[in-house]
Amino acid sequence: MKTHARRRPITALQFCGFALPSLLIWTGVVAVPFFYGIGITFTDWNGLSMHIHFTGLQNYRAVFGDKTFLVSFWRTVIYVLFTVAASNVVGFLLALAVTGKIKGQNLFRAGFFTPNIIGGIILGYIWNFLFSYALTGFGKSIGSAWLSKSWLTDPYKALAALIIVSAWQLSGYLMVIYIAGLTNVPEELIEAARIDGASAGQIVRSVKLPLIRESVTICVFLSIARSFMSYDVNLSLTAGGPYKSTELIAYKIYQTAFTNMEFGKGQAQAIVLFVIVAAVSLLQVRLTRKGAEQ
Amino acid sequence: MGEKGKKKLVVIVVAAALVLFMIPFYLLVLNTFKTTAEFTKTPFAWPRSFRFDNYAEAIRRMDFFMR
Repeated sequence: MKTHARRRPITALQFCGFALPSLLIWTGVVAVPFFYGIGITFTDWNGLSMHIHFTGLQNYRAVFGDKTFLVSFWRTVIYVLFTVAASNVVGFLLALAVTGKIKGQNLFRAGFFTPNIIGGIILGYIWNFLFSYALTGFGKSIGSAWLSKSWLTDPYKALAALIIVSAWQLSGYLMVIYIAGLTNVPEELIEAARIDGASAGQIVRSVKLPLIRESVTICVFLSIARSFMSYDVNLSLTAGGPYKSTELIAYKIYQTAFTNMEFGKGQAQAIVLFVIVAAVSLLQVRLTRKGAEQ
Repeated sequence: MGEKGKKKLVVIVVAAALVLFMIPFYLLVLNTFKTTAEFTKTPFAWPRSFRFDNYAEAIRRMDFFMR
């Protein structure tokens, strides 16, 4: 009997069979609620009532006319700018330090990544205690007026506290991505630069940084998207306080939809946020890609 | 500073950074062994005695060992 040595290519049906479960789950959990949500934005549903009225674009008009929403949005933009900058710089510096073949490297890597493992709510409570009691006690004992009063009672300092905690949590995660990027830089290039007499600073600037461009793109993209959606640390660290001065946009949306029972309006705010974040992220990736191709 | 010296300096700096990073966890774990009065007064100090009262209370409230 003649046997065929050729491998049978996978049929379209087999492919669909393998892909179907994941596709069904994704459709049910992501796509359906998303489109359902868009549908809600055109109504005046309050989450409970059986009578839903079609209201057209009224909710979207309300979004842009709502001053508190706009204030919260710009506040979130400032928060995102500082958090992205701080976490990327710290993450990159940490990655540089732990890829230099020093002793205890793996211990350091694990240690710096730990804040990322603990959920945001618990982190918020730990830091809440730190800011309210530990730092104030420490500040009083060394007589520093700046530390003695809890940072969470001042609107600007509370926002700074939010930025610090988020950057602290995020830098470990970004550090891991930067480590992957840095270890992919060919050893020969670094050796060649060193033989040519380049200092450590020059090696970083001229060899390492250009070659990890992709990692930078990924990290900036991830940190922008994550910080815009930040909610759990906001809730547990400041709960929007003092006097609603640190309400980030995700917190504001939650308040509108669930506390004020205005589902249509809250969902419209969420859709607006989604469009903005998607636009910013895509723009950022496109700009960085273009820069890399030059 | 030679190559070896520079590496040692990096280790020291990174270790210091790690200590700073870990302060919240240090506080968290240590303060679970103190009474409320003790940790509001001296949050950074080593506990005077290791009391497991907080753990007992937490397990009781969480109904951890549900019957």
